[in-house]
Amino acid sequence: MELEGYKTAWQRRPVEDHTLAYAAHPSRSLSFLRTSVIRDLQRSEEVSRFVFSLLFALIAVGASLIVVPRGVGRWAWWLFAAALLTDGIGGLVLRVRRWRQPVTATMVEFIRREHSQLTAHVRFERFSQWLMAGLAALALLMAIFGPQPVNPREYTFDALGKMAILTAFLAVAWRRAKSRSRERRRELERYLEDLGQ
Amino acid sequence: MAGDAAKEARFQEIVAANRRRILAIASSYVRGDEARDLCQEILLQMWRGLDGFEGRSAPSTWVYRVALNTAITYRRKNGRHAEPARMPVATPASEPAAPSSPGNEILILEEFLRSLGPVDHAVFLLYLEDLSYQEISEVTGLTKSHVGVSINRMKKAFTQRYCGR
Repeated sequence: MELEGYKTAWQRRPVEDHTLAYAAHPSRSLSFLRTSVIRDLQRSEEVSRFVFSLLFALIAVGASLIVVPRGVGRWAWWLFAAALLTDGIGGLVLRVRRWRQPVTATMVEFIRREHSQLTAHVRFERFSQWLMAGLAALALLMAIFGPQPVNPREYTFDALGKMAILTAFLAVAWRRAKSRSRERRRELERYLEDLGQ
Repeated sequence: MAGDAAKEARFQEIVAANRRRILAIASSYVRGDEARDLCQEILLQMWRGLDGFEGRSAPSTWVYRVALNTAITYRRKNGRHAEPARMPVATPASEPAAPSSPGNEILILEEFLRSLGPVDHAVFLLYLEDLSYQEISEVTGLTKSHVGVSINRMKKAFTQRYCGR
């Protein structure tokens, strides 16, 4: 059979599959749309990252005020909170920028735009990683060279606090290093190659 | 409120007129529940983009654009979870399939579409939907000559694989 025969069969095939037809029914679509904007936001990696950052920054500040003695250790915790907030807010800004752009462009424009947005995302993640690494180094220097508490009880809390903050910095930096943004960008580059761009 | 009602009416009209196209694209990229999710994602993107649609292109061209861009993004994001294509029969290149029923032809076309990258998939799908090179060019943003070259390449690959020599 020639390709034209296949093409004719394709155009005549029934696509009104029950579950799909339900999904694309105009009136049901509208009721779906009223709830899906929230669902779309809930699925967003950037929004969950922002919530995580905000909560952990609050915990870091709160815990340091209660547990960590006043001084260098406490400052390290606050630096961590600031880094988390910067990371969360930056991610959210990128998300909002993307949210405002509907997918109505031609495929070439759309993929090119997605690629440039992912490039911005990768740049931001790199900045975030460097920020974490820089602040972790600063916290380490402060922990080593800063004044140590004289009181043995305070000394123990201070040492524990410093170890915890360094672990926290490393954990967040490691999480960022596992990001899939670079893979996604490479994939879009392959699409652009397929499009001859 | 009147604006919302007008938007809803316009949306309903476009969805009703292009329902088959949306279903065809969603079911060609993914299957089952995932196709339903993709369908709804396409509708969501259409709703969000509707305010920017000024009618400079045909509504069907606009729907194809939104649906294909959404499908490509969906497949990219959910690539690991996408259900594998239903293999109709073992069809090695040396033994071209001999479709005996219309259902088998569709399965073979679906298998071929899924063997293509998302971009080629989109172009070949538009060809199967009987759009002209000019219309495919308007949807994809590729030049007409590029569309022609891509389609000829894919037609040749399909013929070699499934139509024998």
